[in-house]
Amino acid sequence: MTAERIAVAAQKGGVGKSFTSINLATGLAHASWRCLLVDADAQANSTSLFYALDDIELDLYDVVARGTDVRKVVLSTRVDGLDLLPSTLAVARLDHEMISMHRREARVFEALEPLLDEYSAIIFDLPPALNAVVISALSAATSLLVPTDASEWGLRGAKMFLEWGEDLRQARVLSADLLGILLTKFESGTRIGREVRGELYQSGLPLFDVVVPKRTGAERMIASRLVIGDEGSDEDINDAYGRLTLEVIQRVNDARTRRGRHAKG
Amino acid sequence: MTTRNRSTETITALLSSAPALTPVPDDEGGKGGDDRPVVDPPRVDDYDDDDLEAFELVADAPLVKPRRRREPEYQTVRINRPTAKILRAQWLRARSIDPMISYTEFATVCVQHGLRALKEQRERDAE
Repeated sequence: MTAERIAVAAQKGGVGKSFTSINLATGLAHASWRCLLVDADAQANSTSLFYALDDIELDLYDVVARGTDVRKVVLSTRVDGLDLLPSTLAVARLDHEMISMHRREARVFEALEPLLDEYSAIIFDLPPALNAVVISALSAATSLLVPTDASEWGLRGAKMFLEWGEDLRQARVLSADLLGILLTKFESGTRIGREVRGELYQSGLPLFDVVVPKRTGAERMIASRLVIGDEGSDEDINDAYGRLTLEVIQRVNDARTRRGRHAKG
Repeated sequence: MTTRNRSTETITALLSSAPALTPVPDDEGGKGGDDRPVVDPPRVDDYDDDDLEAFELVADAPLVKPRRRREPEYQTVRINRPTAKILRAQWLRARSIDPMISYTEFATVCVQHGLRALKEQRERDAE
């Protein structure tokens, strides 16, 4: 069965893209969905949570730019059912090199094609940029999840990103279904948090029901390299990402049912 | 130990009975790849053999001046008007796939591909 390819993307930094990618991928693995986490960000946050970066010999750059067999690059993780296609700083060069590549928007898809039948889901952790790597990963995606933090800039960034996505959609580069907007770092006790949430509700955008609360425990999880379900992980974060996983599964399966009906005509 | 059990139990309780991935028909596999538009090559009739007469260039040398470098060894390609019209039409089509591609980038890639193809053809002819 062909993997569902979920891009976790936003043009604003610090909204929880990597944290969401890691914990959504972990949640899906816990739900018995065999999952590949593709770290497409040169900051390598997702990679560093599972491996010491010095230990990474091959990464996404080698797969896309050098044609290295993707199976030689994928690493297993300590989470049962979750594999990682790692990133290092070399991925920063990828964007420059993709400029002169023929059919560059298809490169990420083509690089992952041998693995599509081996996973239920492939999660793309994308950098906060609108560059060739992001376009290529978005082009490969079948679903799109856009995190935004509960701030005015976060809200504006999410709207701008979605407008840009519409341009790509009209150019037939992007065909992914928008699974939803995920509100992160939410503080129910602050007025700005409530205002942003209210504005998102009124925007008509497809929001996830679950909201990820702002917790210092999340920072502790990152510092201690923990994922949901680990000893010492934050209970509220566990609960939020567990429920997000269920919502994603529901929305993905609904989208796939629609695609199936559409394909049958 | 209590924390570990609680964290694991939270996730396990939530996700242990989650549904599996829904299958979709085979054509879904092409989404994101084969389903996307491809730049149509110009028709053979659109080419004028004279367009190729000046291709005495080195196939792998850079065609445009590298920015921020002190490398003067670049070459300039002159393109005649019919070829330029074809190139521009193809660039407009290419922009429907990649809205960010510039004309210079596109033309450079096309000419470089053309030069390499011509070089390979000449090598085959010489054998």
